Amino acid sequence: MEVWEIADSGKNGAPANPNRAWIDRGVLVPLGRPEHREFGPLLVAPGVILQSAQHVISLARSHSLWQMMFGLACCAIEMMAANASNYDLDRFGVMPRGSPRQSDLLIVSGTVTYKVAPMVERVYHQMPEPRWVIAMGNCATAGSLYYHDGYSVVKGVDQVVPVDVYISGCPPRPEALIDCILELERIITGKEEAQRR
Amino acid sequence: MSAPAPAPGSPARDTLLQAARAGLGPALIGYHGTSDGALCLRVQLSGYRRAAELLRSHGIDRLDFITCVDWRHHLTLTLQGYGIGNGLQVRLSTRVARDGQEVPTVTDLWFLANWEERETYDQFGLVFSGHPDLRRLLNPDGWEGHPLRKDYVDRVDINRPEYF
Repeated sequence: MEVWEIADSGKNGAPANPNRAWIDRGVLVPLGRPEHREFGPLLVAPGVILQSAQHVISLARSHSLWQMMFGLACCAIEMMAANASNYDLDRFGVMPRGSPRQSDLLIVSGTVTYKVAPMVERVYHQMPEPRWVIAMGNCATAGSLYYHDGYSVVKGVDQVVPVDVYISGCPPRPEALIDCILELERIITGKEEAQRR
Repeated sequence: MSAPAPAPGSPARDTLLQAARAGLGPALIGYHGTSDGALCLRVQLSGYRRAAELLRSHGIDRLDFITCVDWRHHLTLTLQGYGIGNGLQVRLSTRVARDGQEVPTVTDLWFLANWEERETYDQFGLVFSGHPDLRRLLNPDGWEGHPLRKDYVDRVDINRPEYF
């Protein structure tokens, strides 16, 4: 979520913080990354937000990333832990769905073998646009242990489907997955190429 | 907890060994016991099927696994079974040529042997005659070669550096 700051011009009309130059123009800016700010929604008056509809749509999309229930290997255990009550991915709107038709997010959690690669590709193509892919763990990222002499393992799932965010780790902890989800939210709401999808 | 294994020289084991020596004759190359009480039989390929039937009729009613070892000049097929009633653990090994020799199936004795033999065929290229459905189990259909053979050429690993 974005953190909002109440408009507050500094003393004597000078900005309290050079980074808060927008505040002096009487608008609210979201705190966050610099590249994020220029795309953030602007509160021009109490209760009025001036922003493109595309941004609002992206905002809605980024906070309801329904995830395809698709576990491949031990990373899936960490994914399940992230979904369970201790880490609770529901907070970020990430909910596991049983059907690719209802999913926005494909978390490739685990080792992708050549036997299962066609299924991964098929699930990806069954998901409606817009869709995003996370390569979770070293195996899905680059083949990991099976890079050499792993005759049956695809050396990175990006040879099969396009990947938006990669996580390292063997397996990554649920915190890493949550960080990855937040990064994906930034990508969806922040970057221009992500908005065009 | 599994049933306690009988001490070496238990009645069930002696009975099985005597039956094997009588029933297999010269096809029984050798045998030895291990420290955990398992009985290892080495048989010729011609007596493999008969030895398996003998194990089955002497209470070895659970098949643990069928696997294979590639010794570069030949393959060794190994079968391990366990008797739930008598607590006997038996390993049965036979030597198979790399090419051209077929092994009789034991699918009708243990149902589990179906997939175990399919896996052994898949990874080692060992052909089981009489198997009802001898297809690859782990690798995709149409895979070239048998990956766990020592002379398998990994066509996938094109980036393998020299020093590995």
